[in-house]
Amino acid sequence: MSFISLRDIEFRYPGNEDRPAVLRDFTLEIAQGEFIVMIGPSGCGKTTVLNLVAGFEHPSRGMVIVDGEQIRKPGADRTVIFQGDDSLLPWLTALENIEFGPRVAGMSRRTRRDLALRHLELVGLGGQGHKRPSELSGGMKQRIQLARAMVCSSRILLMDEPFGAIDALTRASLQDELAILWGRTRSTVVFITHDISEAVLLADRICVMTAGPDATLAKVIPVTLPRPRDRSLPEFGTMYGQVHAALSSTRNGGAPTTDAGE
Amino acid sequence: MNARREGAPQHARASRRRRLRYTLNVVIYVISISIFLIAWYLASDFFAIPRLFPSPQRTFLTLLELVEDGSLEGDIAASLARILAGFALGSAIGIALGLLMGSSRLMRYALDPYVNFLRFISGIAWIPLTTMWLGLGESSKIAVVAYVTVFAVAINTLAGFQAIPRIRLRAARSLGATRLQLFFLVEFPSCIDFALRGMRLAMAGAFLTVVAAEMIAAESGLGFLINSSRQFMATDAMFVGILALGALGFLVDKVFLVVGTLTLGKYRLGR
Amino acid sequence: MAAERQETPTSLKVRRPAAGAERSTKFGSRLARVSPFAIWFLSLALFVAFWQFASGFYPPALLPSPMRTFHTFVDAIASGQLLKNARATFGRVVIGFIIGSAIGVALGLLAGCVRLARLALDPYVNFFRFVPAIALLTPFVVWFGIGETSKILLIAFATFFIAMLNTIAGVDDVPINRLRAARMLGADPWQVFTLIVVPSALPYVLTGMRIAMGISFASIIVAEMVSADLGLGFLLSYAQVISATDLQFVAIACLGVMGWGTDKIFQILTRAALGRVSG
Repeated sequence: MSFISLRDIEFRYPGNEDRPAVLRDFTLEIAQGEFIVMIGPSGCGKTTVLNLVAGFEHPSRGMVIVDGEQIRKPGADRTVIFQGDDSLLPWLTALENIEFGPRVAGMSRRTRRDLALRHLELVGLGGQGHKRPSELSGGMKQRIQLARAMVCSSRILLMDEPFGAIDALTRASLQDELAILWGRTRSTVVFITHDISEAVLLADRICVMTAGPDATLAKVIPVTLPRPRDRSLPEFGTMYGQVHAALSSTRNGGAPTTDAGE
Repeated sequence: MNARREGAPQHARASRRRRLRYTLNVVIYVISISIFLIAWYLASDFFAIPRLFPSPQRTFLTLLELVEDGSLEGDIAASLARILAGFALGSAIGIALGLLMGSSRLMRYALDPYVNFLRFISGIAWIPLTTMWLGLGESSKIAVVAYVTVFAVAINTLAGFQAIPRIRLRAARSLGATRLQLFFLVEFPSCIDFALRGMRLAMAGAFLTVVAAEMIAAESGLGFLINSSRQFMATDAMFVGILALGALGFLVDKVFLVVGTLTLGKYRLGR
Repeated sequence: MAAERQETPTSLKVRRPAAGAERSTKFGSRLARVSPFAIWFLSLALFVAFWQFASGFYPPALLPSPMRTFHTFVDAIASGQLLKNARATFGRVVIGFIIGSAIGVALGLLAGCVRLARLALDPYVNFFRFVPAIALLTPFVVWFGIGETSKILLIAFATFFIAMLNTIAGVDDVPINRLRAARMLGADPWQVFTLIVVPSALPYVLTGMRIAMGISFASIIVAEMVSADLGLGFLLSYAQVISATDLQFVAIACLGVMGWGTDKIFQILTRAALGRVSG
C-alpha cells in the first residue's frame, strides 16, 4: 500500500455545487520517501492537491489517506512550505520561528533551542538566528521555512512553489541544498513548481496536470537520472523536452493518459 | 588607495548638502513660527480689545499666573487623569471585543449592529444620560471616554485580525499548533500593531470627549477652564487652556509612540 | 513642481483606506454560516427583550422601556419636533463640512506638492492637530456670538484640519513610479498634478472626509448643548432638563442614523474611487 494515497478525488469549493469542479477523478499514489513534483498550467488545482494532503481542505468526493489513515486536519507530520514571506511570524527572530513547531509540541526551552540552532546551521544561516524576517532576504526566509519544517522531523514535506519569488542564482543553490537535505532525511516530498528544470532536477516522478477546471493528472513521468542531478548533461535536456511536450499538450487540451499508477 | 581619496571629497560634499538641507528646514520652521507669533501680535493689536483677543504677551502672562496659583496644573491633571483612565478601560474592552469578533464569526455578526451603529453616536451625546446614571463625579466622564475608545480600538483590532495572511495560520496549523495556541501565538500577536494604531486614533477621540464633558458637566479640567473663562470674557485664559490642550495632546501622543515602540516594537508589521 | 517623494514626518501619517479583509478563522458554530441576518435579528431581539425586562425595575425617567421610547419617537416625528431639530443640526454640519473640506483639501494638495508650503505649515499642523476642535467653541462664541456662524465655523475648522492631513498623506502615497512614468511620457507639472496626483490621492481625501464627518457630528452636539435653541444637541439638553429620558434616546438614535447614513455615503464613494484608481 502506498504511503500517500489520493483516490478518485473530486474537489469543489463549498457553495459552488453548480459550477465545474477544481479537481475531478484525481488519483495519485505516492510511495514513502519519494520526491514528487507537480507541474501544470496556472490555476489547474496543483495547490488544491497540496491543500488536500495538508489537511487544509476536504475533498468533496474521494479520500486522502496517509499511512493508512484518512486525513481530517493539518498536523505536524505534514509540514508545509509556502511561497512568499507571510507565513513566517514577523515578531519572532529567525531562530524563534524555527522553534515554533517544537514549542507548540511542548518541548523544553533548552532542548528546542539546541535543536533549532542545529537546523539553522544545517540551512546555512548560522549566526543569523537573532535577525527578524524583515531583515532577511527572500532566499534566507525560504531557508528559515525549510529549517522550520525540518525541525519537526515530519515524514511528509509539502512545498508550494517555495522558490518562485527568489532570484535565479539563489534559486539554483536552494534547489541543490534541498536535494542534499532530502537525500539525508528521505522524507516524502510533494513539490509544486512552474519551472520544468527545477522539476527535472528534484523529482523522482513528475506529475503533469491538465488545465482546470475538472483538472486531473495528464501524465506521470518518472525521472530516472542518477543523483546528484547534473543540469549540464544531455539526458537532462531530453527529460526537459519530454516534460515540456507533456505540458504543452495539456495546455492545448490534451486528453489525460492512464499513466497515473504507482 | 587613489579611489578612496577621490571618493572622500564627494562623500563630504554629500553630507554637507544634507546638513545644509537640514539647517534650511529648521530655518523655515523658525520663520514660520515667528510669522505666526508676529501675526498674532498684530491681530491682537488690530482688534484692540484685549478682552476679545489677547496678545501673545498677555497670554503668556496669564499662563504664568495660572501656573503660579497651581490651577493650571490642577486642571491639566484632572483632564489627564480622566483621559488615561477612560482610555485604558476602553482599550482593554476594545481589544477584547476586537479579538472576540475576529475569532468568532457568530460573535461578529451578533455584535455587528451595535458596533457599527453606536460608533456613530459620539460619546458627548451620552453625557447627560451618564451624568444621570453615574452621577456628576469622575465615573461618568471616564465611562464616556471609555465608550469612545472602545469603538476605534475594537474596529482596528478586528481589521488586524482579518488582515492576517491565511498562509500564516496554515503554516502554524501544519506545524502542529492547537486552536488555543493558534490564538495566543499567532492571531493575537498579529493584531497588536492594529490595536495600537486604533488606540492612537482613539486618543484623539478621547481628548475631544473629555474636553466636551468638562465644558458641559464638570468643575475642573482644561475644558472647564476654557468654558468658564467665557463668563468673564477672559479670552487670555481661554488661549492658555487651548495651548495647554495642544501641548498635552502632543506630549501624550509622543509618549505613546515611544512607549509603544519600546515595549511592543517587534509586533510592528511592515506596511 | 512635481510632487516630491518625501519622508512623511510620523506626525502627519494618518490612517489609510482599509484594504480588503482576509477570511478569518472560524470559531463559531454552523449557525453563523447559515445566515448572518438570522444572527443580527436574534441579537437585536434579545437586546430589546432584555431592555424591556430591565426597564421594569426603574422609573421611566431613569430607564424608559422600548415601547415608551418608540411612542415618544412617533410623537416627535408627528409633531415635527424631531425633524426640525435634525434638519438644523444636519444643515450646520453640511455647510461647515463643505467649507472646511474645500479649504482643507486645497491646502493639503498645496502642502503635499510644494515643499516650502509643507515645511511652513508643518509646525502648526503638528501642534494644532492635538487641539480638539471643540475647545475652540468657546472663543468662537465669544467672537462670533451664539448664532449660526460660530457653529458653522467650528465644524469648518474641525473638518479643514482632518481633510488637510489626509490629503497630504494621499499625495505622499502616490506611487513614485506613476509620477516618473508621467514625466517620462512628457506630462508637464500641471498635468502630472491633475491627471496623476489628484486621482491617486482621492481615496485618502475621501477617507479624511469620512473621519471628519464623525468629528463634525461630535462637535456640533457640544456646540448645540452649550449654546443653541435648535438642533439635536439642544434637544438632548432640553430632554435632560425635563427628565424625558425617552426623548434623549430618540435624539441619540437619530444622531446615530445621521452618522451612519453619511458614513455609508462616503464608504460608497471611497470604494468607487479606490476601484477606479486601484490604490
